[in-house]
Parts: sequence; structure tokens; C-alpha cells
Amino acid sequence: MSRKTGIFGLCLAAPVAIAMLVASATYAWALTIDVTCGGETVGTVTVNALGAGKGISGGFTSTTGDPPTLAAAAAACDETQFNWYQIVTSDNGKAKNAAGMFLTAPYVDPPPGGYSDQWADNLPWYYDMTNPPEGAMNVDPDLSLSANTTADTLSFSDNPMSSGNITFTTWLVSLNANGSLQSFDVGFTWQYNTGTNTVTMLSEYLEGPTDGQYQDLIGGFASTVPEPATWVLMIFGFAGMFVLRRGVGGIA
Amino acid sequence: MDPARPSGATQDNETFTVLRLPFSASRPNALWETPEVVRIIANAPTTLEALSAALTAASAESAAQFHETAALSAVSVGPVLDSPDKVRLRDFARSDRRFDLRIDYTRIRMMDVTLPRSLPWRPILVAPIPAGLTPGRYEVGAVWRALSAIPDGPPLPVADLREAAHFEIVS
Repeated sequence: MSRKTGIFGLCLAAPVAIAMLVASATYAWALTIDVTCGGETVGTVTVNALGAGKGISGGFTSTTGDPPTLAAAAAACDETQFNWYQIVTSDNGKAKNAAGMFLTAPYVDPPPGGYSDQWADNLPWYYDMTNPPEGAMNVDPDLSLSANTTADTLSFSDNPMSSGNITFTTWLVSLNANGSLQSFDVGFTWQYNTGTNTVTMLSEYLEGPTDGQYQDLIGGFASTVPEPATWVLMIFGFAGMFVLRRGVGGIA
Repeated sequence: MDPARPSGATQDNETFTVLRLPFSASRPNALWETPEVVRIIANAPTTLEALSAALTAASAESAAQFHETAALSAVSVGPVLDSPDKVRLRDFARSDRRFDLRIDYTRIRMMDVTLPRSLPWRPILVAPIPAGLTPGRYEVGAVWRALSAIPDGPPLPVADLREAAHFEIVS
């Protein structure tokens, strides 16, 4: 899938906003990026910085199919499903993983197993794709992939909290049926500004991740969603091999 | 009120239920525009979508009247919270013709926690009202108080959210 130059959408609501845009001409409060596959646009990523205390929100909407669906967009690119991959590139060093250990940026958001105050699955993608185990604490059902997917849109929303600024890079990712990575699509960078409790510095990011942004960070994650059928087949496979060996050994 | 996506996320005990009104990317301001009110609802629905509709209808009525045999619940919409926040009904007291709900909630955003991934939500607390009310006018109030931890963390420097309504039981 190719990542093409996007279309910047600017929200100009006040003189202050205009002044800030002049000072930081590459940043915006709203972003629209075409997602293309083989030279054809299959959908768009649109994200908006919401007001104070409200974070960032938007999503990827398919323009493929009649009516448009995410499945059609995925099929057009020989993929199965979509999710997001988000990393924290800088923060105040106070985020804790599920074991209560402080995290050092850059790190995948969320880390494997989640944070000390929030469960997450063991895949490196932003929305959870597996169910929490029985008794898991601090599970937010609204952070599941299914809760953020409609027929034609995969939403993206985040409202971080911190006593220091946090900077992010976020990519739309195309995944295989087992949750493994197929390809990185378009991305964007943004910042949670703790002083104003707003999202700022929203900017398009069309490059794929470097090793330092992906390969070097995913060591503790699972690579696929565990498939129950796979385990059953493996168990029966091993059992069948054991029976065969005994049968052969038993023939005199 | 935003027609919330039906969610199975609830916290149940024998006296109350907390439903989560989720953030919607398709209507990003709806969560913050949801009125913070307390209302009395008969045969309170258990799904978010139906409960949201019932609350909207109850808020539009100028006078809430119920038959004395109706199964009633006090339904209170709380403040916007973050992913890890918790809610608990501390007390549901009756005094003559007045009902008072005291509800505690956490506000982790004020606890110097760094959490890069979080979604906002609103709690909707549903508490059944004891049956057998005699005809007449009643008052119901709800007070939401922020604590550093549930159940007994110290209060946070946040003004209590206070809600009030009245209803009438008719023969």
C-alpha cells in the first residue's frame, strides 16, 4: 500500500488560532489524509484536535465499495482488517506498565498488558483485539477494536492525561486475519499539551516507522491473535503422531 | 442525549447499576453536552440505548407522575470521567418524602497519573426505589463527590455535582 501526500484541512476559528498557525505553519487542528492502494484512493484518515480537555478524535473511513465498507477497502489492498499503531515519542517518564515499572520513551502505546491503571492485550496495536482474561482489572470495553469499528469507519480517539507533555506518532496499519502486521499506512504526529490540556502540533507523517519506532519496540508483544483452532489442531496433530509411532512400533 | 451504543459494561450490585455512556467519534461533543440530571424512570431499561431514550423523554416532561404500583428507579447522570475511573453508590437514603443519592467517583486525571491512552465516558447510575410509595409529591437529589480512591480515599478539591428533581405518585 502506498502512502500518498494528504490534504491538509485547517480549522481557522479565531485570530489566536490564525496567529498560532502562522507561527507553526506545518501544524493544524484538523487533518485529512488520503489512503491509497496501487494508485487508487481507498479511503481517508481524518483527525481533529478537540477542545480543552477533550483530546483528539477522528478515524479512517473507507470510500471503497458500494456502499463503502472497511472490508472492501481491505480487500482492495489484499488485506483483512485495520487498526492503529501508536507510539509515545516523549513524555515525563511517569507512565507505568502493567507491572508498575516506569516506561522510557519511545514505547508502544499501550505496552504489552497495558498500563498499571489500564488493561491492554499483548498485541502492539492501539485497540485491543483479544478479550481480557477472567478477573482482569481496569478493563475499558470502549478500547476494543470492535467497539471502534463500524461498517465503513475505524475510529481513532484519545484523551491522554499527564502532568507533562506527551508526543505521539500514530499510524493506520493493515493487518492480516491473525492480527499480524501486513503494512503501515499513513500516519500523523501530535502532542498532548498539559499546560492547556489540549491536543496540539497535529501534523501529517507519511513515512513508515524506523526500526527505532517499531522493530526495536515490539519485542515483548505477541505477533498474532491466538487462534483456538490452531491449538486444537496442534494437540490432535501431536496425539496423532504419537499413535502412529506406537502402531509402527507394535507391528512385529 | 446521545443515543449511546448499547454496552454490556456495567457494575452491578444489589442496590445499583452503573452504565457507561461511551465517547462517540462520530459525535465528539455529544458526551460533554449530555445533561447532568437525576430523573425518576418507571421500569428502567437495562440497555444504554433504551435508558438514554427514557432519560431524554423524562427530561422533556414537565411533570413526572407515576402510578403507586409502578416499579421506579432513580437515574443520575454523572460527570465526564476517564477510562480507569470508578463509581460507587455510597448511600441511598429516604427521609419522609425525599430520596437522596450520594455517589462517589474517582478522578484519576487529578492524581498525577500519566496515561497516554484513555477515552472519556459518563456514568449513568440506576438505583431502584423501594416499592409502596403513597400518593403525593416527592423530591429526589443526587450528589456526586470526587475521591482520590474508592471506597474511602480523601475527597478531591472538586465541587460536588448536585442534581435535583421531583415526582408525584398518583392513585
